[in-house]
Amino acid sequence: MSNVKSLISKLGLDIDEEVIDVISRYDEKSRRYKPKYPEKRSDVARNIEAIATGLKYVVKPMRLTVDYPNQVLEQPKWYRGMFSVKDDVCIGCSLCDIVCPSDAIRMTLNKDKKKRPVINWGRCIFCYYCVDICPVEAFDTSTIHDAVFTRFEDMLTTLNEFTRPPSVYDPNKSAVRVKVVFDENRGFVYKPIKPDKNN
Amino acid sequence: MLSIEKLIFDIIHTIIFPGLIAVTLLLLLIIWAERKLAALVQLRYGPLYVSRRIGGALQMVADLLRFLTQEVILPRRADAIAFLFAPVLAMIFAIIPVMFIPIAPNMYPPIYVSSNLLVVLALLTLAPIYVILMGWASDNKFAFVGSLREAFLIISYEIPFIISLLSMAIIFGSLDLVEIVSKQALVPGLILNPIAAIVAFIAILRVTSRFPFEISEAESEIVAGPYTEYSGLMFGASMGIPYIKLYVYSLVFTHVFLGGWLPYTGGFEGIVGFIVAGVIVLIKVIAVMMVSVFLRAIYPRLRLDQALVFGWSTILALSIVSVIWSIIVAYINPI
Repeated sequence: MSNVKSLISKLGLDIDEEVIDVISRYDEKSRRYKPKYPEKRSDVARNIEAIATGLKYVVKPMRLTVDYPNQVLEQPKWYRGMFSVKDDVCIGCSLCDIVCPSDAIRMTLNKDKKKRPVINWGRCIFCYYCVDICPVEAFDTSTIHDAVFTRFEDMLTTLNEFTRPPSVYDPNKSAVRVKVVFDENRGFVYKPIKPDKNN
Repeated sequence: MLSIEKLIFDIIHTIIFPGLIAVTLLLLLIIWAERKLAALVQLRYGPLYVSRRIGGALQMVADLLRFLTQEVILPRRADAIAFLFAPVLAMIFAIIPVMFIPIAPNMYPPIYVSSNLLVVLALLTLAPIYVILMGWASDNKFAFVGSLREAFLIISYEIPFIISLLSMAIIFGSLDLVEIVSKQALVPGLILNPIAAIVAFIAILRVTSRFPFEISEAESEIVAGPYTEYSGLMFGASMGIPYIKLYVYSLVFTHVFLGGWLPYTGGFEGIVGFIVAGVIVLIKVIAVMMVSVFLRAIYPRLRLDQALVFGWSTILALSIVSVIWSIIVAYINPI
């Protein structure tokens, strides 16, 4: 330590204290940096401890993954998921088309020759500017984010498809909805949510 | 002397246990167990969706079917004959030592040599040559680096393995596996010479490329090492080679250190005796294999130079100490 410090002061270098600390821990013989806080336990004890920790989890599993297609993590209610337009509420003002940053929404005509939005899901970035700007709240929102399309053409919606409720996009309708609950022993666990009677 | 009974036992030995069918089933079991144990320690589920009720145990069968239906691609610049035959030969030489390993006390293995431990050890050293050849024939940087690492490490760990097993031969005064097992009736080899057992186990971990010595096929560094260019069924075969080697090495380890088919000492006649002895050996072999695959979840991968220094210094020194220990034990003669 003093060697390195005296050398640095002799050369007149301006080096950080931490860097000097690291440099001075270098050992020429073993070509390694000595650890700042040396391990007190022996190698054998540490190996045994590691194996014991592993065995603990084998005997008493503590899985933290959601069993996905059977369990689906419930998203918060403000989560921006799949959405649709209500044909009878929409007034055809085209604000959603104008505000859309990724050019996903286009206006078409419905059977009464009124302007209605359609969406390209491949372009949509789920920013919800359209939902926010809508003056009549014509968009029906949901928290479904794991929609599946098997072809690119399916992502281009017609008005008939875009007016369907967003629940049609849910691939795991029968799955158990779970939420994260803090647990003292395990850190956190997934608990099933009881279906709401009002809905 | 070739009787009908001997012929039947030879066929059972070759085809059912410890031969081909047992190898295949254990391969499927042990790869599944490895993935499942690693998943448990890493707080995951592991293979689950194929046969969910038994914890995804048929996942490996599904994988095998996938390998069977995939195309085998022959790289344009690869040495075709060496590329296609190296995995096959490696597999054959990995499995051949089974023919020399006895399973029951009164039954000879199909090919009987009086010093079968020596023959098994000699044959076990043949398979890595073809693994090295695989890397060379692929004409791929990753494969070549992987096979070079294999060449480096195989030498540094096979020598301590052979020395430690021969030190057990000093204690038992025999190179015949039947005699070695029968002499462990009172004290198993593990207690007679624990240093040799530790050296042999660590060497098995390296030679069959288990963690922490999975250096020659390090996934995050060199894709799959010598097996990088292989696809389809050839990939399945080449990934099976380390596990087949693990099986054969565990068989030898079981016989020399864990007392083989003991505590059974040959009370039953004919096929019943074979089944009883076989089941005891199988349980011990699976236990050894489980421990060695379980270490995947615990240890990180060593660097090549770290493993080499460890092999040529600590392990080689320990194996020589085990020889001295064996000479002392043989002098006291507790058996």
